[in-house]
Amino acid sequence: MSSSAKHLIVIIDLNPFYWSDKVSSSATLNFKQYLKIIIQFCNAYIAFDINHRLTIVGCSNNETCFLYPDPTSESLIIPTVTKTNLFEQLFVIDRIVENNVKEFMQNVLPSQTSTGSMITMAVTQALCYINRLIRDTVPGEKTSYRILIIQTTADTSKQYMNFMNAVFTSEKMNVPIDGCILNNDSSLLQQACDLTSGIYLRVPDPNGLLQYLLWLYLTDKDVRKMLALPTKVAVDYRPACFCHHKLIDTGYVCSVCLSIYCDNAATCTTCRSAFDVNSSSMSTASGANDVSRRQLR
Amino acid sequence: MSSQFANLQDYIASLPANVIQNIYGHPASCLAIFRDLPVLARTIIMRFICLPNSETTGQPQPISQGVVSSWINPSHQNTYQVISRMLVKLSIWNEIGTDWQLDATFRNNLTGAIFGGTTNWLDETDSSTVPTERNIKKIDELNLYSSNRWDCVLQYLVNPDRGQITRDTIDVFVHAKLLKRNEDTSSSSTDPYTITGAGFQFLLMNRRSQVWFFIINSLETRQLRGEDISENLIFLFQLSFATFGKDYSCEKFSVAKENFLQHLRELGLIWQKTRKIKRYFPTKLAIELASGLSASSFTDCQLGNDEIQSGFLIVETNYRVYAYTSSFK
Repeated sequence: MSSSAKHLIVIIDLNPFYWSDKVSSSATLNFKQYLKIIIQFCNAYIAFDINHRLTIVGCSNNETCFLYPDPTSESLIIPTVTKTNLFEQLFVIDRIVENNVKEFMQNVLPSQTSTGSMITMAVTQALCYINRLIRDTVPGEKTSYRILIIQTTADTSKQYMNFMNAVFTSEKMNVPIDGCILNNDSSLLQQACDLTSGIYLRVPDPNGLLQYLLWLYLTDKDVRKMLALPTKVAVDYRPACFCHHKLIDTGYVCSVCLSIYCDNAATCTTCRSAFDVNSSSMSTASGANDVSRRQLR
Repeated sequence: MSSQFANLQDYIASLPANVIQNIYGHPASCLAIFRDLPVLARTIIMRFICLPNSETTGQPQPISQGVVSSWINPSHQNTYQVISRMLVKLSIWNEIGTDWQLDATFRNNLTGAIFGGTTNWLDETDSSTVPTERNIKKIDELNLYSSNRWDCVLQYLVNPDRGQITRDTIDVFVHAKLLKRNEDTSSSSTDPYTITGAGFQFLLMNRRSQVWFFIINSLETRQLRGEDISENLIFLFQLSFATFGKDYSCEKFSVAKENFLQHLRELGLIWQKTRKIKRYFPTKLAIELASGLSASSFTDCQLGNDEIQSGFLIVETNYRVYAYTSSFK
């Protein structure tokens, strides 16, 4: 019986624009509480099982950063662990994450054109990291991975293409993506969770965030089969067009490379194949794994 | 009398109720026992912990059994039944009417262990003995020490007259029926004890199970002598969460605990330079003891790998492969 480690990568949305703009959200949660809840969840995750491993990635509106593990800080913190009432390892984790978050937030640039978070960047980084870990696996060790995204800001459809590519990669690598969003529904996150068989949750009451996290996201696939989980809602599978990045219901699809356009164009910008402009056939734009057909509007 | 306790839960369930309550008084033991439970049990307990204490009584809120079983998929209700019985035996939760209520001490200390509470984990105070360079031990030295000590103990089983172990350890062996008194006075050998069949079985077990079996019997021997073992158990749990390679202070230990510490030192679970220097280093044997008992042969391989000599692998261009290794001993 070989050991099986379970690795969770938590991607935290640390976008300052959300927290400064309180008008749009009715949340009574402030940034400090939010961070505290995340750390408590991470602590509970590590304490839950000796085989659990954790990585934390933080993302803001212009960059991402690996908050934990951080081997250089760890060696600095371990000697100071004497007077604590927490399980030692948790104490170390808390201090490291605290320091790294402070550093990270100090480097956030305020003037950017977009207010959306770099979730896609974080997901692709996480997938590359997982890939490296898979290659470094010692024979006899089975590790299962999953990703949890805790998002606060709304989606930008500019990210659609890259995000969907990341989602398909993760589906191939058998890495479920779980999603948790504080604000309004995010169709991108919903699609990601649906495709990779993860759990999606829109948190109705941010004060209860910790409880939702602990109830739903501590366990992996095997245990989830034993639990009664929230049922799936209908997912919005509308894609974004490749030319304007707007979400569309109907459009044109290139038969060679399957890129989606909202307007009739002469050539495909992705694969440069020429279109037959005279043809009046119009296919309904559909998402990659779409089952339902949409009516022409 | 000592039955083969396959895992931690069976052992804890066999202890008297007041000992169990004492043990739950410390976050380390709650966390160790929690981690050893099956996954579904842990998930359920975690959900219970999220709920605040009842406002009227200050005790953990009881939840109706129907609600709890609705959390579980209908296909796994059997597992759930088994688990609920196990949790009752461990006194982690009690049945109040048709509700389940989590034990208050257990809940408070488990929450303390995970989220931070008021009981100090290690009873460390600003000790006057600061670890100096001389006292720092390297990891391979610790490993070497622990394997030497444990081998010494096992050697005694095989060859009792060459033993250099204490009376205490011999008592434990006799209690565990691994050794028996040699009543054959006419025999020419001067051994007071001989190994039994169970003793041979013991020698063939893997190291972690051996340590575990031995510790349980050691605790039982102490229990028979009338000592209170809850302190010792709590200390063992604390050890299992220690960071390998770091030393801890033992200044404020009671006499009984100091006694137990020396016993562990003899077995190779702890390294201490001298009795006067009040700092000790836990070894790998101790750390793996309560954490993940029912686990991995992978870590066993790691211990075993230290002893495997490197061999040779020769690949010839005529597609022949030769492997030179030592025969497994």
